[in-house]
Amino acid sequence: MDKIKRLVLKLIILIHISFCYIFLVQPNIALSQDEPLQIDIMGGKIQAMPIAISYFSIENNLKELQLHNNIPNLIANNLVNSGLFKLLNRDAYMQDPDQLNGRPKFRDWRIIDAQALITGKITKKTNDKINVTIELWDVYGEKRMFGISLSSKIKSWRRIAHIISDKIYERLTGEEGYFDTRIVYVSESGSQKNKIKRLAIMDQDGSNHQYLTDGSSLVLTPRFSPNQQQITFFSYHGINRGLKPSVYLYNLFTGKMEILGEFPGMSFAPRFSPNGSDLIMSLSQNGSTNIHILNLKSKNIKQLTKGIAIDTSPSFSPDGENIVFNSDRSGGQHLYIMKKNGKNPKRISFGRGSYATPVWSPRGDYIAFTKFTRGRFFIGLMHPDGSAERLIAEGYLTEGPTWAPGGRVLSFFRQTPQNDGTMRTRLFVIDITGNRERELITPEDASDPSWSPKNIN
Amino acid sequence: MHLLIFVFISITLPEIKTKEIDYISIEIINEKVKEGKKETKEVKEVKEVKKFKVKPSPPKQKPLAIPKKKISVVTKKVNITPKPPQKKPKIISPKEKVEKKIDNSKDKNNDNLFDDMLKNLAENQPKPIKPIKPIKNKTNTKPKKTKEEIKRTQKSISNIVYKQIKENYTLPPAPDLKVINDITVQLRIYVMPDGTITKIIVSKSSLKKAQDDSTYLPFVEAAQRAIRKLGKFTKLPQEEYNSWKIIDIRFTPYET
Repeated sequence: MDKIKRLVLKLIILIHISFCYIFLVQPNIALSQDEPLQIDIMGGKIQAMPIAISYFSIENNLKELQLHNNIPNLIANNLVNSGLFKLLNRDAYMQDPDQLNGRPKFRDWRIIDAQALITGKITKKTNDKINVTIELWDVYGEKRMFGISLSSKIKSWRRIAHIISDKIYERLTGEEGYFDTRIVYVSESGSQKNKIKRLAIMDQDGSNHQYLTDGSSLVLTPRFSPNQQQITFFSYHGINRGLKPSVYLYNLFTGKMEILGEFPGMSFAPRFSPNGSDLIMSLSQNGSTNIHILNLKSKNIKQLTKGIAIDTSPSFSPDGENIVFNSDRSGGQHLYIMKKNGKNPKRISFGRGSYATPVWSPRGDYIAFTKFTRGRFFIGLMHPDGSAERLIAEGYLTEGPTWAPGGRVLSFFRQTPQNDGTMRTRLFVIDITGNRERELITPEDASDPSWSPKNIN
Repeated sequence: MHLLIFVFISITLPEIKTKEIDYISIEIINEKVKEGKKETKEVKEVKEVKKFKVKPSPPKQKPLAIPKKKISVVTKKVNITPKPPQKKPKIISPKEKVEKKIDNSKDKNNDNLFDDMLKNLAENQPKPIKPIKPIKNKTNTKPKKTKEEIKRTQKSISNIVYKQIKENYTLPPAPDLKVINDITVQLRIYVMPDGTITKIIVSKSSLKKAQDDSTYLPFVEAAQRAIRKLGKFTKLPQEEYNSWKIIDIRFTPYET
């Protein structure tokens, strides 16, 4: 009996030893994995992203229009002009457009190091309408990033290409696109003494160029309204009829131009409020220049700044709550911010030199300005509290920054003396890094650009 | 006594359950993206992510046997008491010293971003690596590596990995200076003994940030692209496979 007891006891002890081993020791072992290797990658190569944009496949009856080449070419131009993308040579593509109606052979595109691939198809919708479908592919991830299908009249193919460009840009950069937009500016022709200045408008890539005024009177500082239908500008238009130079409103749909009221002094530097209901501008009278706000519906005008200083170039913050302007009230010309009712003016620029033409970015995080220091003009940026000031462009005369939608790209104009003693004035585009500057091609000299909001039509 | 053992076992049992790691597999997302859908749909689908669960796998070496290589002895946790971490242990890896530009202050700044990650790692990994007491085993005749030798080996592996990833890492197209914002991206990759990268996992915090901020997504994609472009590591020492079979990579696109 004792033997049996001892045997049972031994068995119990054995079971418990096994039990303890399995549940106490084993878990520790199971958890004892190797620690993953930790690697920190600091910085990376900065280069334009290599992308492949294949010609589109197209129905035979549309081939003669060349849209299967023109649309991808325009998309490529937009993306390459942004400075962020590099189009890979189409001769190196191993798949034809017709082979790209389904899933691409990613290996073929990795060979040429395409990081993104854009494919498309054009079909006829009705007699005068087409349907354009595009797809964006992640070549290394072997996945489709997005697809979009647009239909429009054949004659609007450029617009389709711009909208597609915006979508691709937004997907690959995460920032708002600005290709489906227009720029209004002052076109300059004639001799230095006899300058003819006309209002002109074009797509952001320089196409669809047209003049809005005939050049019989001087025009300055055109500005787009938030709804794209109107442009406000300063003009000597009525000077032959005894009118003072004043602020005018031009309707892009009707082509009509109207003067914005009769003010006691000269009005200039107009700009719309973010909702388009008001116009903010400078009025000069009795030797002082102050900022006023005009309600476009009621035509009521209210003075926002007072004093003998010159307060000008007002620009609203995107939320409409604050106004940035420049003033010489402290002696030098500096930037100030005040509430929309004119209260609490606060100086935000403290660097050496003069600051002018401030423009609040559509995103609200930056204020672009013109700075004159050490005999040179610069385009600069700072945060609304005046911090992080940096200069992104310079020149003999560099002025008039204007923001593209999205607030990451600007346009400005630069005047450069030529060897023959004349001046060459051109528009330029630059992003806020200051790294990617390019000239906007215009038929003649060009100044005072104003970038439209995103096309909403 | 038995009752005590039983109670103790009951308490410790939950700790050996499958651990849910704070990672989400991007591969799963890719499969979900259906072709022919419009962009608006795409956003919805990106949100439908599956949590990736990692089961603690048993070690290849036999329990309690002395590992053949000393480096394995050091990096292994042999005596872990599975208890919830009271403090996030700072994971100090000698590999960090490889990159001169990395400093401790930077790590501190990034602590918040990787809270989830660190917590997770803390649950699964040993506290700061300490050389364990040598286990007596008569069968082990190989000479043990010194601390310095281990450090040197790890540094060498880190260097190889670092160079090969960096060669393939290009910043995404960005018209903005994002120096001010924290845009660090954290990935975990799994590597086969021949150096082939089999899986890329984006940390949950990085993926969530990408879903919330469209400007951050390209940075996550650029990091993944670098790994996919690399595809396979070369020149990694086979005998040290355990130390590089899982690699955590932190991409900091702009040096501040």
